[in-house]
Amino acid sequence: MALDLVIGIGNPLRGDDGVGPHLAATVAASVATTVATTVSSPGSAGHGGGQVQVLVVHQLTPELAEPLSEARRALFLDAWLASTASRPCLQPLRPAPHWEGSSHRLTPAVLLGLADLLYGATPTAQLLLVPAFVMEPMAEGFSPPLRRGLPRARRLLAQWLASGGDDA
Amino acid sequence: MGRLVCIDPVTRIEGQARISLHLDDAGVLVDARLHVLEVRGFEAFCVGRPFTDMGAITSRICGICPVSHLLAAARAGDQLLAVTIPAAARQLRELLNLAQILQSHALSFFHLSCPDLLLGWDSDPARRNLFGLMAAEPDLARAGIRLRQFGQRIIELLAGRAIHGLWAVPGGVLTPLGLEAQAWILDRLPEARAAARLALERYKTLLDGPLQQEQTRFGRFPSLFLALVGPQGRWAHLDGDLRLADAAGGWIGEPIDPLAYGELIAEAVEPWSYLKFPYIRSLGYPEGIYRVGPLARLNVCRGIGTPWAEAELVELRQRSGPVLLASFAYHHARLVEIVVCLEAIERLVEDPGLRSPQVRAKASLNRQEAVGVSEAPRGTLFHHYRVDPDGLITHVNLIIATGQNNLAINRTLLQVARATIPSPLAANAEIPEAILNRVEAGLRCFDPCLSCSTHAAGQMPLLVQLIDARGELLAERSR
Repeated sequence: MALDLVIGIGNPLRGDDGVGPHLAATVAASVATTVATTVSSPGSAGHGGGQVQVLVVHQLTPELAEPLSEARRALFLDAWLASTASRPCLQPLRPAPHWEGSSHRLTPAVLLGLADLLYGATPTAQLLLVPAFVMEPMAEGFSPPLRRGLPRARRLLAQWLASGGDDA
Repeated sequence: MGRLVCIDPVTRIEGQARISLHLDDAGVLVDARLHVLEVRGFEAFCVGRPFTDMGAITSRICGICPVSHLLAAARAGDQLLAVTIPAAARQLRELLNLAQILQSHALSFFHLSCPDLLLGWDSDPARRNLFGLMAAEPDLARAGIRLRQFGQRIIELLAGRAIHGLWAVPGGVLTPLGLEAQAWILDRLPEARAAARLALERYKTLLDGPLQQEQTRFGRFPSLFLALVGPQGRWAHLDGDLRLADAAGGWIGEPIDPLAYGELIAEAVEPWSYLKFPYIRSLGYPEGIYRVGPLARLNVCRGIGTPWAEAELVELRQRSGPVLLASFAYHHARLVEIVVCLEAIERLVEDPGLRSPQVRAKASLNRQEAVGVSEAPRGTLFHHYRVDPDGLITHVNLIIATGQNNLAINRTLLQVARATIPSPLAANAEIPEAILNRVEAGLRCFDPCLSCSTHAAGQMPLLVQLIDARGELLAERSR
């Protein structure tokens, strides 16, 4: 059965940085599955024509290349520091053809590149970016401007889940 | 005029650092320093918190080593309660720590060190990374990924999450191991063993070829070694006696009482680094240099006690000498410890006692001072707490493995730099990147975790600076 993989990236103890895990939890609740923190965890649930697996990670690591290669579609959920004028948006992703950054900062595109390199397969992938404004250590909860963007982020997320492969 | 070479930021380590190489007026290398640039101060803000919160707080020091801090905090908590934890709880904590050592060593070997070891010191730096490794050795890369996954999954099965689970508590653990989890571990063990075998075989071909000299010469110097040992001096990682061994492998004195660690270890500071310099008090500073971690554990123990790992230890000693003095041998020691972990995990998981529901002893506060000791992947970890009669923390001291290796790291950097940089170095002479990479690799032998050792969050890029005899910066290279 085709697998959709949702990866929430961030740390809930760093304020707005936790929006990725927060949105991932809403996906898990909507499809009645559990949120896993390692890639070999069980915990996928049926949704529409396929299965949805939900992962929450503080940062992207090479271990994620394997489940990515097994997915039909993948959606990364992440925060990025932005100006107040920004809105949540979906961006298409392509595998990076070469190394970018460091082993401590894998990007979704590099991870897709690793999946292609090691396993010869990559999913159709998108990145849902949510504007973030406060990423202080040891802070829980979201800033007011981020909260204002959450309804749109949830709509985009729901659209992605419902599209079942007809991604823009 | 003298020079300063800076490597900044250092790459493929856990944290952020700079290496500086100091040359005198004649262009001769006189010093090498690791500068750790981060500080966060956990010891200060833990004061006033209940001791029962220490596992939750200190495990946040690091995303790689949270299990190590959780276990040291729980062990200090056991002492404050003055309880003996149930046998199943002890075994379950062991299982957690073995999984932690396994996944951390897999990260160090496959992801951080293999680009140097397999692709070569002189290979194109644009390809000398994880991506390049995966292109060159995909089977090994896939095996490494699965092996680390195995350790992380065991942690998640026990602690509920792979990072920052709060399952080990003063008095024991919160839950026993479930049947499904037990079956999953046993099912995946053969694949994990195959991955370890592949890594060892591949690594030995390197030791017989391009890395033949490194295994005995790279970062070689005498030092003391500190580690826990079990009954009959066997390799240990959680329970056991704390032992100090000399450069010939002989034990020094009697087992050390963790509460008296302050009589054994003192901590020096230098103005150029946030990372403290622990040393053996009786030998003074900096003569009291010692090493902890995989190399030290294998030097201090009298044997391992599991068949495959024991055989690997014998072979390692045949290759590198009866006492491992070269810091480069940390890599091989890590692989041997991966084998120990796999064998010990199998032994534990097959023990029916592990599934006992009696996993926690409960008591109120009975002591006001405790030292929790455990072997983290990078070496011995101390959590020293004092509490008031209500159990609120009044004093914390954390002595971390990478800090204890600080003097040895600096000695290794100097030794490697002296062996690779032409001496005297002509004024304005360029130092090739491949040489600077060898110096960096001296640091990577220790798999340093600077987030832990300064209790700070961080990144880990690399800077090398060239400094003249008056301390002025003459050249700088970074990436």
